[in-house]
Amino acid sequence: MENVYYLFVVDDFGRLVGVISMKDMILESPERKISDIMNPEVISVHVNRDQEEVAQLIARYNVPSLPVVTSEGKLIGRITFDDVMDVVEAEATEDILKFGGAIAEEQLAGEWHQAVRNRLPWLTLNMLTAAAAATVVLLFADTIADELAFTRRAHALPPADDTALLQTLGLNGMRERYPRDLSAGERQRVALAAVLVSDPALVGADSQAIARVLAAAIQKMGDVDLVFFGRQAIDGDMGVTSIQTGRALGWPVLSLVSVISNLDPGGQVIRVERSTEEGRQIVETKLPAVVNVVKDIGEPRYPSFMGIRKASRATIPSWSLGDLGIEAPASAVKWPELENAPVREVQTEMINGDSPQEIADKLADKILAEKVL
Amino acid sequence: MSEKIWVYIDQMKGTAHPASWEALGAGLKLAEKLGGGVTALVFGAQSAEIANEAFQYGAAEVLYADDPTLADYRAEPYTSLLTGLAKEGSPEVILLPTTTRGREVAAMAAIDLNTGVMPDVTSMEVENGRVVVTRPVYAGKLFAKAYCEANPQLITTRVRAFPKAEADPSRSGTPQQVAPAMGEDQIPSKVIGYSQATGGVSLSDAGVIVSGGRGVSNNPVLSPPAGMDEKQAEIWKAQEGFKLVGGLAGVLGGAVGASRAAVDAGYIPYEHQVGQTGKVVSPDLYIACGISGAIQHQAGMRTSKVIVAINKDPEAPIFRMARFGVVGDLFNIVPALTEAFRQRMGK
Repeated sequence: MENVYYLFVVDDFGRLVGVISMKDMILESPERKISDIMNPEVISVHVNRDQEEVAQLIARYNVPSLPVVTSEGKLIGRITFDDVMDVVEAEATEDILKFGGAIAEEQLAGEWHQAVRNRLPWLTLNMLTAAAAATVVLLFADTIADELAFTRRAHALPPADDTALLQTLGLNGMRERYPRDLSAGERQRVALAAVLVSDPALVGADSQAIARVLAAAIQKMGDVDLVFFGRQAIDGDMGVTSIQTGRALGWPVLSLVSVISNLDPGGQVIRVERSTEEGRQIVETKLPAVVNVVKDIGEPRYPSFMGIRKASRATIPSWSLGDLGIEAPASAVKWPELENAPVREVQTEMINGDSPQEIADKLADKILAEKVL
Repeated sequence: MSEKIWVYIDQMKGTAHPASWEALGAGLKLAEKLGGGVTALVFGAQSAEIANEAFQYGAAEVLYADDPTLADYRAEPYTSLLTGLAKEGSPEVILLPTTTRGREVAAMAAIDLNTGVMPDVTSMEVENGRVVVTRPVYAGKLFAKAYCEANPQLITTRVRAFPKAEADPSRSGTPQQVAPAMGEDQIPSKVIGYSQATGGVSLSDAGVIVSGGRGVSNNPVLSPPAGMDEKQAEIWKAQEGFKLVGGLAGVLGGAVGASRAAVDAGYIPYEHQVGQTGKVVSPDLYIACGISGAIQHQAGMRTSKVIVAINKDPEAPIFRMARFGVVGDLFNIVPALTEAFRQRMGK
């Protein structure tokens, strides 16, 4: 027997009644009986207990070994912590195999159809739960977008409208033409450059400071003809960053663009339709220019599988203000407090009736009584 | 010399945008607290009438630029003119209405003048001599207070959030002529023209708006002309639905709005979209037909004075913000309502 630190005490029938440490055995006076110095509160395990539970007990009580007893309390052996280590490892392996839909009996070099049969039910179930999760995400897409807006605050780059991104890739109105028919030179000119400017000094920066940083980043990229922005971020609803970036660059700005009707990188001109209060304004300007687009610019297209793979491998350079060679621009606007929107106290009155005419008559009278017409 | 508070009068083809007079009204209120009067800025070509109006609405002084280069609004010449004048006159506050042009000029001017911009504000107070604004953020779910430490404090006022200044036809004055800051050859942009004049009443300053949502395409009794595929048929049905919406808007002298769902589905152009990513409106009467009322839509219309909701689904969130609600088929209710108003309003 190796490493005995504790002795288990049994009665005449072999039943476990106590435990005594070797230390006590040696230090106590030889006249005292075992029954006086033993500890009767002994933790034991039943012979039929699952090995994993035993392992947990040993871990919990931090003991080197546990006595094993039968239903009658008869001591039949002991289990030590090194036995338990083997158990833990085997059990963990079994659990991990189960996660993957495999069973412990499955062999690495076994028959493939056996493996398929073992795993398929689990994989199907996984598929179904994933589909359910995806549906939930889809149902709450708007809410999630709202929530994401909160998390985006700390970033220097404003979250562009999805359409802006699409526009950058697809160039609506020229979608039939781009990129198939563009010359190599043209392609270079509309090439994408994705950079994240991230610097702790920008926390709390106002739109004007952010615009100056973006302008510096665009200048560092060099050889840029066209910069696309979304109309506004959906947190602050400011709608000014793109315009200010263009101004900081000293480039013309075309805001609220819904159609790009002509883009001629060779001739350095762009012609667009802008959405204004009074209708669409057709404007032409010189490149380089800053464009901010509204959602009419096009439908976001679904990324292809290859596109997703490519995106996952893309490395996006992260520049600090030092990389741009600038100090954090001063911010003039301070935001001392946020408060909840005032609750709109409205008493909804439902208008009912037997016919549309009756409802319409009642409703028209009610509206006229509000004196808003 | 010029006053501490300047107000930019937004105009299009010789007509001032009504929100300009709201900004002027807000400017006069600030002037009561900060002292002095209000300087109005009128840029355009042959817009002397607007300069005159500015005096009637209470401006103490009008800086007026009249030049062919300013006939059509373009961001660069307008901004350079404004910021050139501001560098000379050193105003403390410049107010602009939150039109597409006002927001753009304010944003650019902040860069030129190295100051901050606070767009789309709904109220203003003066604390320690600085203007503290309140502006909705996160789709109107929260209100943020903000102030600008530098001068001039550039602020754009949300359309219909401030009362118009009182016009007094007996007031008049002589505008001070100012010269444009850029020559035509220095201006990078050219306005080629205007396509698709939306016609009818402009959404952002409309007193009445009737909006349609996805529901307008569901009229069960319509059968589209032969030869249309499913999508074409859906759009055709939706356009028929929007004719009803337009009919009601017509009788009420209002504008036609739409939900994002309707715009995304291709039923109606983006210019009509009301909501966070569309136009933010604040009419006296907003009638939502077949619109469920997603939070993003509410962000664009929650400040309307009276909201009426017509929807088949009694659980639609729009009912929770409506003054009057009708659970029913918009294809029956809307034409009947149009007729009811036609009788009552004598049209």
